Amino acid sequence: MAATSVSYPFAAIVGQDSLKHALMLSAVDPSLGGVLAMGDRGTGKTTAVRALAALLPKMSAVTSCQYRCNPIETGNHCEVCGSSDADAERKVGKIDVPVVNLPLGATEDRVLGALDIERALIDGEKVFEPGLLAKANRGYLYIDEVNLLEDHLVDVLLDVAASGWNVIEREGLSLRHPARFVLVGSGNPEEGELRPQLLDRFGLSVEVQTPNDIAQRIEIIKRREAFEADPQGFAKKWQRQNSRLRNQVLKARDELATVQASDDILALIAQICIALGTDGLRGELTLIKAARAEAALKGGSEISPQNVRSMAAMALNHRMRRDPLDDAQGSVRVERALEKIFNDDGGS
Amino acid sequence: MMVEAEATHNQGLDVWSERLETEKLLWNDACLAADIFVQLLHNGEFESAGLLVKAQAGPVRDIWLNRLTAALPEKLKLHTIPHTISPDRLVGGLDLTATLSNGRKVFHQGLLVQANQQAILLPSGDLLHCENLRQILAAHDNGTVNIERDGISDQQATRFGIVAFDESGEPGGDVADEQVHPGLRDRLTLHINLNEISIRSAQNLDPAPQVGPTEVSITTQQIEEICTLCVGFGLTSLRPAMQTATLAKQIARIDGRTVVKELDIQIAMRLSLLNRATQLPAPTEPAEEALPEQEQQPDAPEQEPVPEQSEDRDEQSDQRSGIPDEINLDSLASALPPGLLNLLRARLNKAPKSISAGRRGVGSRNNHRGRPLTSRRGDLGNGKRLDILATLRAAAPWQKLYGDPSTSASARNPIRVRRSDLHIRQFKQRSETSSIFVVDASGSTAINRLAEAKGAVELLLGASYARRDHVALVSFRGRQADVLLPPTRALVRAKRALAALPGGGGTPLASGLKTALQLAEDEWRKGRFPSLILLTDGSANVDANGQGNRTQAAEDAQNVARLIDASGFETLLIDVGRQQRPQAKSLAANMGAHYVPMPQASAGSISDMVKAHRR
Repeated sequence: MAATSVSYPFAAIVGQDSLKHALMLSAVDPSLGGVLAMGDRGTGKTTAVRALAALLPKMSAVTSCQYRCNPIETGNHCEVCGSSDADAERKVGKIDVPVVNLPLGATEDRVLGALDIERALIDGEKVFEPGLLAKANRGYLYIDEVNLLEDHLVDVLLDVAASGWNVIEREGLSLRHPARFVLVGSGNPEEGELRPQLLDRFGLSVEVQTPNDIAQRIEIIKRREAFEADPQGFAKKWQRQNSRLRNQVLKARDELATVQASDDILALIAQICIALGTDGLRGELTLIKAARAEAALKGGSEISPQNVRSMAAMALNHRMRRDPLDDAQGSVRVERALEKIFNDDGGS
Repeated sequence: MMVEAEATHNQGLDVWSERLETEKLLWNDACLAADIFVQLLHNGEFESAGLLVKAQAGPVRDIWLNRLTAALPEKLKLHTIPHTISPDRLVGGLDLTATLSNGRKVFHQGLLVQANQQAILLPSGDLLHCENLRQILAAHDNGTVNIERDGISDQQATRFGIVAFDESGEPGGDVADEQVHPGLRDRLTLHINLNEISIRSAQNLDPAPQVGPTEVSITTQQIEEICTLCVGFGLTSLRPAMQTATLAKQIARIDGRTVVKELDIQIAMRLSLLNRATQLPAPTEPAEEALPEQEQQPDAPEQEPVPEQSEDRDEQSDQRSGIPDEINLDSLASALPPGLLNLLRARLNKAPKSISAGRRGVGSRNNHRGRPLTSRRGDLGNGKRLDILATLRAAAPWQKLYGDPSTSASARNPIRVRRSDLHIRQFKQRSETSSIFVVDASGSTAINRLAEAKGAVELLLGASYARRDHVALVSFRGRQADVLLPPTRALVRAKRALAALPGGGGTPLASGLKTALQLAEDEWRKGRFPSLILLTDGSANVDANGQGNRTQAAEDAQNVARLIDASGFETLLIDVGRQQRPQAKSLAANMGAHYVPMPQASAGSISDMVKAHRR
């Protein structure tokens, strides 16, 4: 796809509803644990992630800080911003939500950060050179072909993503810095699968497919042509729809904390997880969070069974024990189980 | 008599002239593709300037490439990227000499950045290392090269066209044949095949006129037509459709028009879609069957012949509603001369049934070989490679302690490195294994214990999944051996292939072993550890040439067995005979295989045995 400074508008993406939905939910609640999108070639996975970043509003940050700490919230500051004498010289401003791309062949020192070799050799100073995790703080870290990344690196990434802190203890350095980001991974399952341990640590997972509908395919091509012919004009045309989505996300963020989960809902979620045999509690916790984020996005004040139902596949389909000889995709199996539970309950 | 002979003679001439016509057409297309490629580069449409050329090395390819390079203007160079290129040459990296002599990091530019606003040539696109190919594709997609390694964090803009040669044979020919990575096939716009063209047809043709990037319009109906065509050709990704649209516009431009016409789409289809088609569009018997339904099973493309008579086609397309394929099927027929159609059909018939799935294993080839791991402290020697940056990092904090740099010995050498600082580059070892199952499905086994053997293999497949093995399935019966499943991780396919395996017939043991050995050697070349698991009763009665001769057959089998022994691959022979017989034992001994009689009890215990034998 063409490289242009304007990214394709999120609202203009045709189809890929579940991917778009998952990305919006992760924007509503970044603690959901990231999104994994596995699917066919040329389905616009990358386009969607880039578009989401452009959709999000600018955020306020300490611009003089290399981790872009939040000037208001105090809990997650880096060592400099957290110290008492920091206030004197810090500059605050509005910046774009960072989307950091983890390229192929990235090495550990560049991902985690390492000793700045030039400063060490020339000035004899021990200075930490931040890596991609620092760059991605408070934003998105996007890994295309996550299934081909070295397992060890994925492990580290998921650890940091879960804790929100990158802890460095090497090369004579001892420090920690905030690294809170939403991890978005994508890949083509034909080229290798992700280990189940890693799968489980992604919050939501979606299976992306090429649209089968000819009309949809035509629409995609027409929009792409229009975009490539005039990126600015195209983006302008979609501005209204884009800002509508943006406001929806912002409103949902504000209301997220007030969305209630009744005991019945918790019981329903437990029932689904037991029926699907998902290992561990991560599945349940994610499903509750995802359903809550969806309720907030749709303007509900409490989680409805419908929220649970629509989120179950995304939150659980990668957490089930896999039968290697069953070719049914995870989502199909989740759907089967849901069908059963909801029908037995008489649709409650 | 006379009349008949003359008729045959005429027929021969017809075939001959048809062949010539086809070659001429293919050559015209190949030249047009080269011209369009150059024009796209010239107009700065680097994203669309992709050209995949299926061609063996030879005079036709040379003539074609000369024509292409001659058409390129001075400023547009074609940078050759050999398949053996190292990643740091490709994307850029640390310039070791300069870094060491200056005492600070110095970068050198990679080829992908040097090729900015120009083009790259991949002389053996099919052999390109997966990691390298992904770098190239990512740079082409994003318009940038992102480097995050060796202490470098850099992003450099680069836009370039790609010409790739695909030297592989036709699919379905040799098992060992590598195919071009599907990601590359998907991203390149132009696809031509020079293999069907002989030197006498490779005439010098006038180049197409150079045209500027004028505005050309394409109607929704035409886009619709292109989409339908793509689906009909079994190309489900969206890229080919977009590429065909771009191409049709360019062809209209060459013709001096601002509106895309039917003919432009036909030519675009020939240049972009035909050579990567996995099926032929065909409105056949079940007229209700809508195209989207066909598309849902891309694994089993129906290779129905295109109806020859146009009346039939019209009738059928009338019955179909919603999909406007009357136009494009007619246009398809007129755009495809019979010779070309026959060629294409023959090619598709040779392709394995599940074309997209069959390349799965190939897609992931080599992606574990030499993948860099974190470097470790260690000593040099034995051809180990020093990780300069990690070594410097380790040495840096100690520079003051190591001594005053102003003393004479270190004046020329500002950095002091001690032995304990040395870091050695590590690469991921060969660790992937592939289990090749060789199942004797001959009559003798079928009667006795084929079902049990299948059960055992199925259990072993489950174990292979847990170990992330690749699995392959070879069976032999009747006169020859078949590779039922080339090495893959898709266990579901393995299971299906196994379930469909029929029993009965002679026992061509030698062929079975030979096929398995070849497969194992291919796997070894791809960087995996193959192991052979042979399920047979060891009594051969068909020799290596497919002749029924018990003595010869046994001798052939023992000969191949010795070859397997010499190869050193890990081998296990499971005797599935009703009684344990000496043949199986002596075969195992010759192969250097572990010999295990299949227990009478259950398939489960076989799988336990294999596991125990492995560790």
